[in-house]
Amino acid sequence: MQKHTLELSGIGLRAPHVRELLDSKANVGFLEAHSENYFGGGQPRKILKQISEIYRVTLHGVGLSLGRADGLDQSHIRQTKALVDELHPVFVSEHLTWSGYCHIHVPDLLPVPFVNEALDVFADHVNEFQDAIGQQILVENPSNYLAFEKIDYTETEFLNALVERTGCGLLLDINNIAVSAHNLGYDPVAYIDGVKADGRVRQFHLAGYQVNELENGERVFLDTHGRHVYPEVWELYAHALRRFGDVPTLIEWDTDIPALDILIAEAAKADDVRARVKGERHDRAA
Amino acid sequence: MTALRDIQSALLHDIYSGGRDSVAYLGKGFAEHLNIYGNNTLFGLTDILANAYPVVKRIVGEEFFKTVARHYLTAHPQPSGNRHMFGGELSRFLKGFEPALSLPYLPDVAALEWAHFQASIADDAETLDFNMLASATGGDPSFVLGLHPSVHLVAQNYNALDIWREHQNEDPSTIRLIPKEHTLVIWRAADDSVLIRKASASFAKLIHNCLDGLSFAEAMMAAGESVADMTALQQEFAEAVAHGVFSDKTEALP
Repeated sequence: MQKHTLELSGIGLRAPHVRELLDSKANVGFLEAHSENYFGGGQPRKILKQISEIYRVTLHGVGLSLGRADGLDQSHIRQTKALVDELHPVFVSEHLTWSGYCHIHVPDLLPVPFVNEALDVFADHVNEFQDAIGQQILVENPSNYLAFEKIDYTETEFLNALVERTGCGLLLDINNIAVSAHNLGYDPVAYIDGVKADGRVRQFHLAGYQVNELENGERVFLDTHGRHVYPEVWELYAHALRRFGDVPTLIEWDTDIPALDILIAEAAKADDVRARVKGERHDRAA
Repeated sequence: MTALRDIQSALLHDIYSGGRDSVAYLGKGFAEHLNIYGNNTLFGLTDILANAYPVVKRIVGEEFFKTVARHYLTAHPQPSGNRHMFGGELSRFLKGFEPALSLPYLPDVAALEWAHFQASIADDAETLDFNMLASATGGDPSFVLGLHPSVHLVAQNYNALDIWREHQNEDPSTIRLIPKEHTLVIWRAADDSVLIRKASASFAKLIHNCLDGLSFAEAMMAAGESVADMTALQQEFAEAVAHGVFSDKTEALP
């Protein structure tokens, strides 16, 4: 069966849509599976294999904890490698975060102090992971709700240095940039302009966030992946496309998961923005 | 310079306990934001637990289940980046959880559900068939019988299986509670359905013996020691082979 091209944007693979995606081929460029959901065997693994025979698949890890101060979990790496060998994903990605240390983990992506020691840890772990699975990984910028007092780098300086030390690529989550920029008080456009535009950005993520008010009245953006992409995120996305070129894009939607049609329509909106930015480039060239 | 490991230890401590050990490392004004990570962890782990224990949740109700989850995750934090591994101690935890002691069968239901969940996602493996068995026993009587990776033996004190089955229905009826020690064997069949059978004491012993690395001949002999009629054990073994309890990963003893 013919697979789709990455010129069409993709969507996250979520359990409520699996039957529909298998029954009739949806018009999406690719599907992103969370690696850990398919560790082990049984029905979930078989279904993912069937999906990969119809659609291009990317693997997105949420639990390896690249930034952990102790060593990576070798069993986690082995299980990811088994998935990579079986599915031949277009991209394998993980996060610029940590989620576990010394046998205690959280189901969340925790912030990293951007210090030299953390850069060494990340560089070692990204190299180890890439060597183990035999392919380049993409590292995604996180949504952050706090920052550390002592830092040696900004987040973009840290990402740029990590790419240079490991040869990894970057997955820029545009929604995460908007969320972190609001929560930590920086300019999201300057963030995008701070990432080097030399082919290292290989994928974009888009999603919707939620606005919460804390007890002290402060408004915080939460990366809930539970609604449509906000207009200002679409604008940031267009800016990123102008800077980094046309890069495969994925819509994430993990809570209050809508009907598949709605998700595909959101991916089509991303395709429209990509076409608009491509058109601008052609206009300038003409 | 502060070591990364100190920061990570402090943050994890604060997320699980609501403490403030990590505040000293944070930029000004971010202490309040620690609760966001604490809430994400509480809600995330409660969802993971509910996914593994749907019948326990139905029995105790949503609000009580949230209370169980809150206490459980403090005592037993997520042990690995593989979220499917969180929750394995719930049965043991419930035995000592005072608010749940009025439901003495609940730990049995939890043990059953955990084994069921783990069986559903265990590694795939080829299963042993009778031809392979005949060939292995004929070739080397000291061979060790392998178990399918999904096999779990679950000790029970009550008729929790009846309760669990009734709760697969939309509107479950009340089941009469019967105290009775027995063992369930739970595994995933070739069609990916998870099967549950009551195991005789001798068959449970056979499985334990296999897990302990005894040769097939020794395992069978030791399991049958206290059995008046070996035929029943052999029949139970044959049914287990037919339903994929054993794997093709047999090996000769050194």
